[in-house]
Amino acid sequence: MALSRIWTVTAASQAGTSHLRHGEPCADRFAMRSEGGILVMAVADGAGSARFGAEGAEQAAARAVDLALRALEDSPPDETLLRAVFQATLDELVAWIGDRRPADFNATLLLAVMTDATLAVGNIGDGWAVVRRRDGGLSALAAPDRGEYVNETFFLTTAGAVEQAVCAVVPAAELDAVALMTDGAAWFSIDLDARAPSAALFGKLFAFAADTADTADPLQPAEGKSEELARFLGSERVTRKTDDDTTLMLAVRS
Amino acid sequence: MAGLDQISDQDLAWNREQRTPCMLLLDVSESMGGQPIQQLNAGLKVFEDEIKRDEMAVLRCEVSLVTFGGLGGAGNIGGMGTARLVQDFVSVGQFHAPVLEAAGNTPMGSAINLALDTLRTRKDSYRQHGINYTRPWLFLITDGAPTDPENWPAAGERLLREEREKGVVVFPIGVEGADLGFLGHLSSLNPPQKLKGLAFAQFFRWLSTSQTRASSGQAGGSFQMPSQQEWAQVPL
Repeated sequence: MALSRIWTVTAASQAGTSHLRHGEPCADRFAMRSEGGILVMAVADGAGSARFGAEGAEQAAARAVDLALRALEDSPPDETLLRAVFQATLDELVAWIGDRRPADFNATLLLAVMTDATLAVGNIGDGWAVVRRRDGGLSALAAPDRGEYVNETFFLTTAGAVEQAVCAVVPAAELDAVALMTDGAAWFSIDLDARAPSAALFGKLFAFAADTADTADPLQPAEGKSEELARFLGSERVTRKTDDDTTLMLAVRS
Repeated sequence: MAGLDQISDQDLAWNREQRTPCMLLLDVSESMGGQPIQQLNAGLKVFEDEIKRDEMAVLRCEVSLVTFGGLGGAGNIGGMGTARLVQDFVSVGQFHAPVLEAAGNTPMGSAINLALDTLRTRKDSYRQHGINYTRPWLFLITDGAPTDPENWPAAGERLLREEREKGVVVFPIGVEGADLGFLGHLSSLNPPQKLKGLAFAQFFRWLSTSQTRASSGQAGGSFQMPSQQEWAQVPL
């Protein structure tokens, strides 16, 4: 069954000022696919300490999205599926890494799978997912365990990561917007102590993402949207609060 | 059109923990070249690594870096140094130790002014957001004396005044060759300390511990600084 209401996704990454200062490229990656009424999104944050963190993030995000779509052909979107997808992603990643050092490809991985009825979110590391209900209520979903956003996080290639992943499965019908982000974007959008997303900020971000012209591809926002989001992530308002790489994916029902 | 330019500073999340700000005012003039600057850089990395281990410190401690010396812009000739805001205040969780290079002379006066201006802006921001903060610390680390007479002694007097008005606590620290007599005029609360050899790593480890402890205290309260014997030279 197709999604009765089409989701539009606006997403962007921006290199953090600390990375730019050290001549490092952005190590955040995101991926998304929509098929048969299912929307799958992933964000991954290559560890700053990992030599090939960006490659690790790239592989993790892209493979997880593909694997999730395949898994959903036979299984419902639940916690079992999320962990199976994480394990399959890890297996593929390890095979791809070959005889190189897995730690050189350390990356976090946040995965969201959305069908008409269900939203399932799995979180390996310190990414954040924020959902808005139709009544306007805003909350974090599958939030990282406290303390993990500080400095020590865990990665897909960390032993036990698949078991340690934080998972949440909620009915999707009452949701009208979903955001995924890496920890760099959480720094300015979520009160990390209260673990509360900024209502004012997400109100404006989701309004921005919803304000889009009809396009043939439901995944594609109106022209220039992603660029505007990237500019915002690189603006001084944001870089005053965070100097890490930032990634934001904004999915809204059009 | 719901554009993102409508997002203001106030819309962004701000963790509401009280803040413990620390300004590092660092001499990167030519005389700091070689071992001293390398040890200073290594020390900053120690600070970054150590302080990030404490969850509370990451939420509460903030750090900013102003350097004086170094190479200025393209139009800068004759070994002139400049005062530079290398790092505006950030949570230590977001702090990445820079790699500083030593060159130029010692415009300490303009650096003090820049540091105090940066501090004032940060405090305005705290007040605007209703955030409590502990009295800011300012560590001035140098092996020389100011080479910008146009800012001197006004900048030094401004620093003392700011300290007297409880706006900042100044810690003058001399590296080998520093004039401790001169440094003694920069704070009425803390006598200048002389760094033992190039014990920057020990100093920054101490600073991490101190700032972490201070951040867990009540704003407006006081706390006991840990012993400085690891890095401060004791006169015999």
